[in-house]
Amino acid sequence: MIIVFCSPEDIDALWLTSEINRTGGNAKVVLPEELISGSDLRLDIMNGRATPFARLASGLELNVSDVRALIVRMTEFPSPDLGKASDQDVIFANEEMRAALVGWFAAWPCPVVGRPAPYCAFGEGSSDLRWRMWAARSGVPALDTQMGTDLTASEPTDQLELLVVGGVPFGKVDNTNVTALTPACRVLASLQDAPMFGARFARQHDAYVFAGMIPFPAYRDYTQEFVTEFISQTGVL
Amino acid sequence: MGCRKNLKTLSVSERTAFVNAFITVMDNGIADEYANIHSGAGVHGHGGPAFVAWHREYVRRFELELQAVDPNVNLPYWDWTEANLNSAGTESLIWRNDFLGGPGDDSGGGGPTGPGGGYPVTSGPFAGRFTRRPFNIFSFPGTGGTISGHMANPDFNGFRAIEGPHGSAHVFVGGHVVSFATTAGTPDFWLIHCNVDRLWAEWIRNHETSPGFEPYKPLIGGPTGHSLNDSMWPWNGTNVPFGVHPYVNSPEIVRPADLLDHLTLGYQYDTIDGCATTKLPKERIPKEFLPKELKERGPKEFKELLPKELKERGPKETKERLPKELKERGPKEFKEIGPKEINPKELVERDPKNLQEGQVFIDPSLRPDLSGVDLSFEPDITTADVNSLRDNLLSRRANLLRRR
Repeated sequence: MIIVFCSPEDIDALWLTSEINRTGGNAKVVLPEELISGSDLRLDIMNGRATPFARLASGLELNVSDVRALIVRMTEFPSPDLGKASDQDVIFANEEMRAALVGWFAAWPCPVVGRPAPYCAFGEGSSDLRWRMWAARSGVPALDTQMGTDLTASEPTDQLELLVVGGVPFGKVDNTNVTALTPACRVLASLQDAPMFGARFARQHDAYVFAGMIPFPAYRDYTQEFVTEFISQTGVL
Repeated sequence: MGCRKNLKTLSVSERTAFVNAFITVMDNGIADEYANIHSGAGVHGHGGPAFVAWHREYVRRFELELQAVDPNVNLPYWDWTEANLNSAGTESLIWRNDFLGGPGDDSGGGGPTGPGGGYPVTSGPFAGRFTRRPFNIFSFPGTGGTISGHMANPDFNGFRAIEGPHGSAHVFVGGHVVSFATTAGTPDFWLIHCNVDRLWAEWIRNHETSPGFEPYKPLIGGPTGHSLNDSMWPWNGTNVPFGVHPYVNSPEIVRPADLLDHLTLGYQYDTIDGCATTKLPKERIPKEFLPKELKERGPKEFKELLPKELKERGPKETKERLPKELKERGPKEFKEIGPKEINPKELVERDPKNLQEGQVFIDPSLRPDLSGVDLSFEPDITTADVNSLRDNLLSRRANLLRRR
């Protein structure tokens, strides 16, 4: 089972869910707020191992045996409803909830797309600059960057957006021939703990070089083969 | 045009279709006929320049046999230079039970029961049909470095040395797959040779712009059947080493020169040609094929449901995505075959209010001719599924808010 955490407005996540199901996988969508409202949310710590678990109000049970992959498309952590609590209590509760959920998501042993961790492609500690440095240090040609400049404003306009699944790049439907970037994508995949992520490449000096990560790829724009690849790579069938 | 893909990227239905078609040609004797041909192809299709050309024709003909069973089947290829595992490294994507099945089963003790150190295959759809070595499914033949060297060589004689590493794949699997006389009766053979064929196509694509490049040689002077314009056994009806019917009675001239461009033979490779045309966006689907809930909605709601890239594009760009047959019919042509020819009286008679059961309201000549339209894209529309998921989530969110 693949669990997709997203909002009802995230059509790309809903599209991906239905494509996974159509391709033979078993994907279910869960609202982020369902994790903390009427649910039994647990992080069992025993013998030095943390095991996440949740039983949602809907009856859906998330456990490490059944869940084979998580796709997290949360743009923020859900806030607990404290009624008439003071602002300071709300802030405190939100921080506690955030810490609990970061730990809970970090404990999943299965592949997690978009794990909310500070320095993943999607975390708040992440930045294009940081990713370019990591990529360059690992041998991936990266966009020349001048410190202190507005990164996006100084980028070349000729860009290529890829969805990388298990190191295999997939282009958008109008640009599928992206195999030349496979070696770079393999290295980027090895740099992070995510079976699928979006990456931007920009054309500089007659070649495409790494420009940054795409936190929330628009899945519908890419060739549908990536869904099969994702299912194959995560072994969720 | 069919797309030959890496076995790793096959969907469940593609895997199933391939396996079912293969079992059908095993059961109806066609696979044995092909195995028989291969047993006589020692000097014709091996050990010389025609290795890649002879097998290209042979593989294509076999693929057409599979497509006669199921037109949706395309041969997948096995890139044996990598492990073909899932990302967790816990599952083999080739030796799985819904595809090629497992290795030879030596658990019963005793020695090999088949050729090439083979033990019976006891798992998967081909269980009991042939033998393989009891290899480790997490290992693989390798030879990637050797193949890269041959691929980088712009000389055909340098490239065709991939015949050597291709043999490693046969030897790795062993059993019936390594035996010259039986190998083509196994699915493993066809996946190996589909990959060989892909490598030839890729090598040509990589070097074709180099000055003096020759995609095949020699032009003349090679062993019989191996020069560019030689006809090849068994299709030319020759009786050496043995004649193959129906070619002995109705010879066909197949030359290496006819086989240099895989696209002209009617198939593509995912790594070379992209194969994007087989899965174009679903918005190309004519209205007749839309699900009911989309047809019933007005233009405004429909636009909301369109993918982002279509919403942002104007009518011109949308037209670019129309099937060719529809694009070529401009307003002028439509006008010529349209209302001009219709008698106003007929229009009154065709008023939907007067329609009787079985009558057609829209003149068929006004409908687009879809008979030649490429409908090979995915027939499923997931917009309805997406809407259903969204509605479900909205309702769950409302319930949560109510509970609060």
